[in-house]
Amino acid sequence: MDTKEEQYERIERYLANSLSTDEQQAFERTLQQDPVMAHEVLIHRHLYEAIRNEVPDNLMARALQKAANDYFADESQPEVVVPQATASKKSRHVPSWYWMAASVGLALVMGAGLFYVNNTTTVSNQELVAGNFTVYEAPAVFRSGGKDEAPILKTAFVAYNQKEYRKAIDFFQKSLLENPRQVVPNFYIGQCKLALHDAKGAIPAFQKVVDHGDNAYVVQAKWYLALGYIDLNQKEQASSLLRELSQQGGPYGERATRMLNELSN
Amino acid sequence: MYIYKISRQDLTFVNTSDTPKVDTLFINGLRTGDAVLLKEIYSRFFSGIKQMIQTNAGSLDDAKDIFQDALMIIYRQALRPDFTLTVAFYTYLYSVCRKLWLKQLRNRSTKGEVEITETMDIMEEGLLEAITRNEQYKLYQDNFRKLGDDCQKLLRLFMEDRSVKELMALLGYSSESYTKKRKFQCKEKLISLIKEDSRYRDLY
Repeated sequence: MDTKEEQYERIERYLANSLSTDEQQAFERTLQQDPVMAHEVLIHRHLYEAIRNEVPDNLMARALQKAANDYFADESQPEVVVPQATASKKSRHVPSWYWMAASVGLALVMGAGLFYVNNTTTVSNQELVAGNFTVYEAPAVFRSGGKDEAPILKTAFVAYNQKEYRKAIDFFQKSLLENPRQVVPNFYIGQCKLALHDAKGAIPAFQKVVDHGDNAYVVQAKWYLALGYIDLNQKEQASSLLRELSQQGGPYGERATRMLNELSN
Repeated sequence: MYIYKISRQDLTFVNTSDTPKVDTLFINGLRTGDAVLLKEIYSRFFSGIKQMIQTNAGSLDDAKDIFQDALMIIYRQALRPDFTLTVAFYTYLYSVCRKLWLKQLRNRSTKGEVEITETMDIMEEGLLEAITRNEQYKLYQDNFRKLGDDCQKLLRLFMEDRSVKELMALLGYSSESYTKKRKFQCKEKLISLIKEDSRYRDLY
């Protein structure tokens, strides 16, 4: 009779399909006659599946926990009031001296402001971007359809997670050479470029994601595209994207609203 | 009865006018663990699930646990090559949550008063299998984490189909026979932990 160690080894070889044909047939006959052994094989099979999935499952569980934490943290925050561009305002009577005083004040402020406005615009845009830009997380579970794409993208994400953005860009670009229709590399090239303060390089990458249309990153790409435009002081393009995001609500709705307010100040 | 409909405003989120595209987006979000989409799933769907659970003898914490378990089950299902979403994402999510909650209520021996519409019983058989598989994975993985680091590492490498020679080199063991012995000890320890776990009897 087999020792337990021998029994385990036989099960391992059976599950790995490494028994000879004769051994396999004999073992399968045993399984039909011996329910205890059949149960052990079932336990081993489930054990293998569970352990092989342990790392990705754990990553997903953490990603879900983070999403839950973010959601419940937001729920306890007071709601942001969305300004309505076309909202009707209640008219009220304002004394004429108010307007005179306001005009004088405004002229003084404008006069003083003119000395500074050219120097401060660029800086404040960059500050605005820096205050709103956080590098988008790499997918918790990365899977790729193509056999040859996965190793390149995995290497790209390793570099990305280690903040080696130039190296990550190289690998994302290599991955695009394999399959130029991919959305993920373009989205993350945009991220890397923004992280490297290269808004000019980030914009075309994000634009490709938006133009592709049918993918999971369109909304996110619009937000980062808006940040890129702000960085380059192209406020009109940025505002148009932000208005869209603000009206749609969704994951960037509130931030887009706040950003619009800051841009208009 | 709780009926969910995706509103026009929801649809603009993905710049599309049909529900299947939004649902595919959520499935892809789950497959990749995308932070923004996962949060969006919570934003859109948690309140409906919370309502179902709280009106059926559950608490907010129950709702949180059930929601997370359900997403984990859908994630695992979505990774299967033969997976196709044949109903709306929310309908599927609701069905999984409902099944999980009923199962838990039964486990808690809560008596009666559970009135949930039966119209949502879709993919019954597949769902039960997926729920059981999720519980089995939890049982195995929870106990796997109770092992020491060296046993976890050894078993992980072994499950990657590494040969005994490779295991020996990677783990710095002195001989193949010791490596084999250690592998057996680790696996035996894990299997005995699993069999001693109270969940084991419910699952087998």
